[in-house]
Amino acid sequence: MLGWQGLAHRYNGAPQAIRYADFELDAGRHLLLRGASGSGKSTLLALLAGLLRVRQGSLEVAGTLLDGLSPRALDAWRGATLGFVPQQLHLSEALSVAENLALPALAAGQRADPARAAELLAALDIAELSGRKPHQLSVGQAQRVALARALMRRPRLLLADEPSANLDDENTVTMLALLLDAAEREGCTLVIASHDARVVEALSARDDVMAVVL
Amino acid sequence: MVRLAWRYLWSSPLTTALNLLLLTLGLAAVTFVLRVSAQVEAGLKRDLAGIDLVVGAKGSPMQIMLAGVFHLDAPTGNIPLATLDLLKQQPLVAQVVPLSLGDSFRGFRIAGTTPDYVNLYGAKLAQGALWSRPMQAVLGAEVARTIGLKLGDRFVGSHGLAEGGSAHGEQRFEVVGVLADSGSVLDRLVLTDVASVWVVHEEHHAGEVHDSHDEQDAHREITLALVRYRSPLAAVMLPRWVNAQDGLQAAAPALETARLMRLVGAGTEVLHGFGIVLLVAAGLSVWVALLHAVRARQGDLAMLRMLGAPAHRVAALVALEALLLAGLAAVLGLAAGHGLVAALEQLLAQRQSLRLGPLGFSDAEWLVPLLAGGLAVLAAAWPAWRAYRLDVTTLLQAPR
Repeated sequence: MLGWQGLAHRYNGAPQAIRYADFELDAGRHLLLRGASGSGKSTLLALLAGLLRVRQGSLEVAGTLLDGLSPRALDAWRGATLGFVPQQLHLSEALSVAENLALPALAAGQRADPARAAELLAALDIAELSGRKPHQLSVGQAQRVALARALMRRPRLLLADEPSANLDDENTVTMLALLLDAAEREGCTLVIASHDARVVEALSARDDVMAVVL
Repeated sequence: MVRLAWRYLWSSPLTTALNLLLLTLGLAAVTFVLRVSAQVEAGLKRDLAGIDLVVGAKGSPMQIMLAGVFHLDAPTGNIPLATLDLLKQQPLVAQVVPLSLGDSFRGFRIAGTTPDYVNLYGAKLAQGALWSRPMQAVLGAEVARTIGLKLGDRFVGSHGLAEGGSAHGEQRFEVVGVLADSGSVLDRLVLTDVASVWVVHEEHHAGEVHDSHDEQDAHREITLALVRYRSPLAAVMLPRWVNAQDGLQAAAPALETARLMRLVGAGTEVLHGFGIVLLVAAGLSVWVALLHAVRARQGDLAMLRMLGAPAHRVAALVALEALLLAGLAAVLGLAAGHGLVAALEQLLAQRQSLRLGPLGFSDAEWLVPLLAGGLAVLAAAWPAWRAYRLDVTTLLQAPR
């Protein structure tokens, strides 16, 4: 379902490629990507998200071999397969919560699905926030909205980049629980990239999480 | 996408409103110039009504044309009534229509003429009939509307072509007909028999010794003669012949109108240039605003890419913002341009000056939305390209 072999990526002008040890995620388990800044964590995340083309080695994500896919095909695959919760949440300030949740459909050239948005907002206990603008939300509420947006198109893979950034201990625990619950409820694989010791400690204790140290 | 672009557009309301104002002003100026040029040209053409030559007393041909065709200026003087017969005897002349001016009623000119003058414009009667004897008057549609006279009403003309002249005593005109709106110069004239002018002025000069009927005719005058040619050759021959006659001056309306348009054209070009300067300023402003928007919304746009939007869709979103702004500005600009023309039309009507053509969409006005769209595409091209080339991988982790 998720794994790579001989995977490497070299940026234009860089003296050498970043190489990744072969890996395969066991079925039904989630993945924690650990690594300090500059370890290649972001590059692996971009490769997993189909934002960088696989030029060396092989990468399979959610049952699709990404090597050789055109940028256009990668765009379509990403929209249909991937949910992403970025470190900076990037909720559009010009739009309400409900409209932010319509973006995944609009990005794919499809009609918005308000029923799905309402269902997710209710599941994340923020149903009453649908009409608010992002600046009217607390950090925790904004995190939930970003998670709802990632889940809108029923992704098979949910990527979370540094989900504990700017969160206190209590909110970090809450956020991790939300991610794991959502992955279980939606039946998708969760990939968390983090160098936060609190996250590493919380996830290392779980049997359903495999860790890759970069 | 359109809704999203609309929301993004108005996420900076002040910037958008200013850009909208700039674009609207530029497009309104262009609309105004296009519309007025087209309408003035149409109005002039309509009032020419197939009149090939105007013959008046020696003086400026432009003045003769303005007085005889458009009823805007004072005539250069009078010409003998016998001129009509002289002209009719010319083989190159198909029709001669006399015009006697000099009096007015509440600012509207009284024109002594023959029914042929009404036929030149193809005007129809809305009420009553044309005059059958002197001192019967037919009102132009606008005159009837403004003054409110009805069939059977009587009025006294006053001396001079503008308001404020001395009244012509006991000689009263009777309204026997009202013309339907023709959009031509007839709308603002009071038409009567050419003899009415003689009757009124003979009464005006009461006390002077009266000649016999034939002697009277020999001394009688008209102001202008409107001539239609029988053959195109007349355009070369007849003006020369007229100008060679003692006291007569020929004015070819087509030539004089073209000269007038050239004179007015300079002002039109200045207005046009002003509109273009406004549009260029607006285009630059939209360009800067879009560039700023792309920079400010890099995160949003990157997120759209992350959510699966192809690069071209993100670029189209930026271009769509500019097009929506341009579309709105085109609608407002056209409306404002039409409003300005309507105001000008109102002003001209109050001054009883030249009428513009009928309101409606002129062909040239389709240029306005095209111009707005082209400007939007130009202004959006670079920002859209920046959005297309957005590096999603670095943006997704950059602080906002």
